[in-house]
Amino acid sequence: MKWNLWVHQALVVMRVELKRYILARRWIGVYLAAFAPVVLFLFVGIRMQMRGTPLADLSEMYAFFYQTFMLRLAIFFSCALVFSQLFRGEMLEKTLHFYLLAPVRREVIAAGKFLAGSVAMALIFGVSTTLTNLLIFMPASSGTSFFLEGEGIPNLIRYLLVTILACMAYGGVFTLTGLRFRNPVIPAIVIGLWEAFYFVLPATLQKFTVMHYLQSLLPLIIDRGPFSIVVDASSALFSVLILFSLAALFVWAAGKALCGTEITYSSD
Amino acid sequence: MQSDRLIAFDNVSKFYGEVLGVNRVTLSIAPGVTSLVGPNGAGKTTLMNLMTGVLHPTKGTIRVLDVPSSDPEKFYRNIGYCSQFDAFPKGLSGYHMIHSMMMLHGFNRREAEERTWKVMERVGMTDAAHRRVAGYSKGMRQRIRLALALAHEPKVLILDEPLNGLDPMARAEVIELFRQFADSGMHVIISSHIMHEVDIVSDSVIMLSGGYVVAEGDIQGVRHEMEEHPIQILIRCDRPAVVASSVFQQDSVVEVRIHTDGHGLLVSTRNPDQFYELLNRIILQHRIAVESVAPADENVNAVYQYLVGSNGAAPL
Repeated sequence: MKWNLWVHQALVVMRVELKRYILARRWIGVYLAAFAPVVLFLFVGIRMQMRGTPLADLSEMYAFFYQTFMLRLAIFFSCALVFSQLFRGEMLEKTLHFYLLAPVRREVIAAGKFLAGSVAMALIFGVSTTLTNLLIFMPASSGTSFFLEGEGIPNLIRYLLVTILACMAYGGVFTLTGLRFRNPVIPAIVIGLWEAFYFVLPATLQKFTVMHYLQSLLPLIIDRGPFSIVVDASSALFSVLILFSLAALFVWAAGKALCGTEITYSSD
Repeated sequence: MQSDRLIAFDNVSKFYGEVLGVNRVTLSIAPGVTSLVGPNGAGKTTLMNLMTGVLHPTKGTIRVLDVPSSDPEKFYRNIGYCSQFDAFPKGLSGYHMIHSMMMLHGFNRREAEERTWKVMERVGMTDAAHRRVAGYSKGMRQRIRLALALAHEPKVLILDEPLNGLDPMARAEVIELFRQFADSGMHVIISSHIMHEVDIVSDSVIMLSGGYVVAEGDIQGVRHEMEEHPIQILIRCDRPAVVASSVFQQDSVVEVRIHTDGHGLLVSTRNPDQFYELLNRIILQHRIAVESVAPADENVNAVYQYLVGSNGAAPL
């Protein structure tokens, strides 16, 4: 096995991809989804401070914001946009031959591109999560002590962990769908519905959603209404392992799909 | 020749759905300059894409220097492909693109930098090295593709229509470069639908028509295989009418045409060796002043005309 070479090559692919895409115009939607809430929270935080909203209410508000907007909409659809374009975008731009003519295993190309997407998305949404979290709690009268002595920092770390794992897990899924489907919008919508309404699924099927394992890691679970089926959360370690394994499995499958890929741009 | 020095196609077919790309191709290509010749749609690019692993054969196997494309780490170290794909990754400069490729080849940063500058210099692109590829002209893009193919010093250089977009001076330089590569023991595979270009540079030709290989080998060899077709010989002399009346004594001469300027004739013969002996006798017997004697159709274009009934030019 040539692990040293593969790691070196995957990191080269990652660096090239980051250089190409991190400030690309096609990512404007991602930056908007990540940082529009930050601007919003600037005002919300000040308003909550003026009202003297207690920390417990702020925690619930933030949990609601994070689990509905951040996870289900912003992170999910940004991952769909970015990762499904990793290869599909290259086929449309007719540039995939650059990598396919390099002395690199196609699984390594898939891993490098996935890493680039994961690093970029985790960075963008990690910053967004941190800023929104600080902006809602810090203006509160006991905000500083909440972070220095209370649950502030551990909760923030959990939110960050969930953000990173969500980017990786959904990233893995959409890396594969980008290769398997000519129109990746359809699988994105189907998977989006499956993930968004996972809580109405029977207990067994809930275990086949990414959201179940992400929710298991969150510090606070919001009430999901009368039709939800409550399932016991999986352990934190198990959830992390499952999400990592899921990402690895999908990236490996994407690499295998790439092995059978031919450059026939005209038919794409 | 040992298989690790050959590009070997074994009964290879490629279909795009129901459309034929190439069919039942069996070839062994030795080092030197080999040209793929045929009009647009003949299967040249398909054959090159198969050779470089960007397409997979529907049937058959391909090995380049005894390595299959399923082993990309070895396979692409041996191959440099200057394709017709005109798009490049967005946001990268010429330098960064080649440097990244060298890093993917496993060279360390310093080696990658050295190789990148060396090849940039070789193709005359040092001044534009840090400009984005998207802003390059057609000729510059052609050169950067060549640089990308050459930078890792491959043993097999495959070039799809490499002379397109180059001015006459650049063409002459590139042709000279191909000869140098071939003389150093490399495989240089080029495709062209411009016949006289490949005539100048090639050691051997592979002629394609409608996805089939219709002939292969060195140009003269291919020509002599087609015994049913007469060869044309152009003779420039002072008394062509005397020569014309004399050569008809030979059965293998099928046609004689006297040039309108009255100083030459074109003879078609099925047996050139016998004809040359006869011509010597005629010249001595009649004391004819001969300016030149040369085969008129031992070039790729003529052979292609015989084989497929077309001059091989791209349809307009």
